[in-house]
Amino acid sequence: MKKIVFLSFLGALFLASCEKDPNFDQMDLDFIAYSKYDATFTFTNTRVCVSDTIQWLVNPDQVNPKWCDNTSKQITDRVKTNFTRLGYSLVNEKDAKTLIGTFNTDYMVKVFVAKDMTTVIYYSDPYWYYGWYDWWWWGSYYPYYPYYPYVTGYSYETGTTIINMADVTVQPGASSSTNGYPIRWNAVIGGMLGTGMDMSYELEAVDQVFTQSPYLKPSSK
Amino acid sequence: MKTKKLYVVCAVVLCGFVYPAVAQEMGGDREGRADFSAHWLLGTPVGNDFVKNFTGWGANFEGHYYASNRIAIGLFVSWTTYMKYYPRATYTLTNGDGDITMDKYQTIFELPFGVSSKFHFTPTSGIVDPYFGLKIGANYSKQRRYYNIFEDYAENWGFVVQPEVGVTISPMESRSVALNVSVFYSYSTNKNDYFDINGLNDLGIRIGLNFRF
Repeated sequence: MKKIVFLSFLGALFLASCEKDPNFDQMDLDFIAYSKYDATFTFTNTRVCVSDTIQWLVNPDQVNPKWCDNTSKQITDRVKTNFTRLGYSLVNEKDAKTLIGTFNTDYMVKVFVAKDMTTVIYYSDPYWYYGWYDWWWWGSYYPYYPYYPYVTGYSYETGTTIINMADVTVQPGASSSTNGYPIRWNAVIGGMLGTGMDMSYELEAVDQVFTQSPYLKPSSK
Repeated sequence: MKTKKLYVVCAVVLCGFVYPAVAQEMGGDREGRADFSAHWLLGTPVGNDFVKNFTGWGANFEGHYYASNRIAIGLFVSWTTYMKYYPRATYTLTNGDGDITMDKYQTIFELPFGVSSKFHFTPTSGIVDPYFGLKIGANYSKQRRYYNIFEDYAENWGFVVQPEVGVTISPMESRSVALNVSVFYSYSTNKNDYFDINGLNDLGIRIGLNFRF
């Protein structure tokens, strides 16, 4: 009986291994460009501050370094260029926040890149979820924004890039149960940034998330 | 509940074939013999938009015992992977509050197994020997979406029914080896809300060899 069970188990393993993989060579190398916005919000304000520093996303028990060099600047500059093209006026980071904690800008934009970690990404239309990724964890003015898991996903060490656009014209926590500023627009670029891939893939994907988000263009009230 | 009803209906249909034939058939060359078939399986999913592509990444194995000269009962197991490549495009999210641009592969892997039956139209095998078949059982399935370095994945079980029409062709008098071709329709109850799959239905062909002992 044990032999039968064992052979059945081996047989099941053999059969399950018969699943055919696709021809991945056929797939392009372009990065995934994902964007999502607050559909209840109308983008009317025009002042935006894009942080010059990219925040590395690392495992929670590691230090949390920042990325600021010529390479990171290519990305943040590309984000700024796209906001300018849409009609936004840029506010310098040092001028964006006052001494009393208020803002001289309408939106704060921060770029994150996953590094040296297993980013558990649950892509579940229409949400993305980043395991432990909470806004409050960064200890800055960026609020928590919930991403809801829906189905099992796939973990991968990756150079995933996240761009978040926080609305700082409202009181923190005013529009949600979380104690933070609402994220009006969120973009995720899925690829292998930082692993030898050509930077052009990243920059093209930055352009793409703006191209597919025409609602970002400030409209009159 | 619906699945259970379907199961009962299929069991009744199978019994309806078996008992009259066993009781009535007296002559022929099949009763008491067994057969085994190995097939290359080709097909396409129908009725869902997840994958609609004709692919030939499958195999089928089945064996039967002839309870009468017309009726054979046995077991089967098969597996196949249907897949389709979708070039880079921008897709609007379900709620309409976002978009995603990517190219992707979508695949459906199916592994049905269970009871197989065959009903021959004549009690004696000819060179060309047509039959009607019905398979019922369980269907284990995985659905995957690959995009860039990512993958969405779901697996589920369902109840499967596969009616088929086939023919064996053998010039040998013993019919011990025959070319075997059949056309089948597969209906299974696998469901997955994430990929918007409500039932896996396939249309396919099995091409292989039939060995009779």
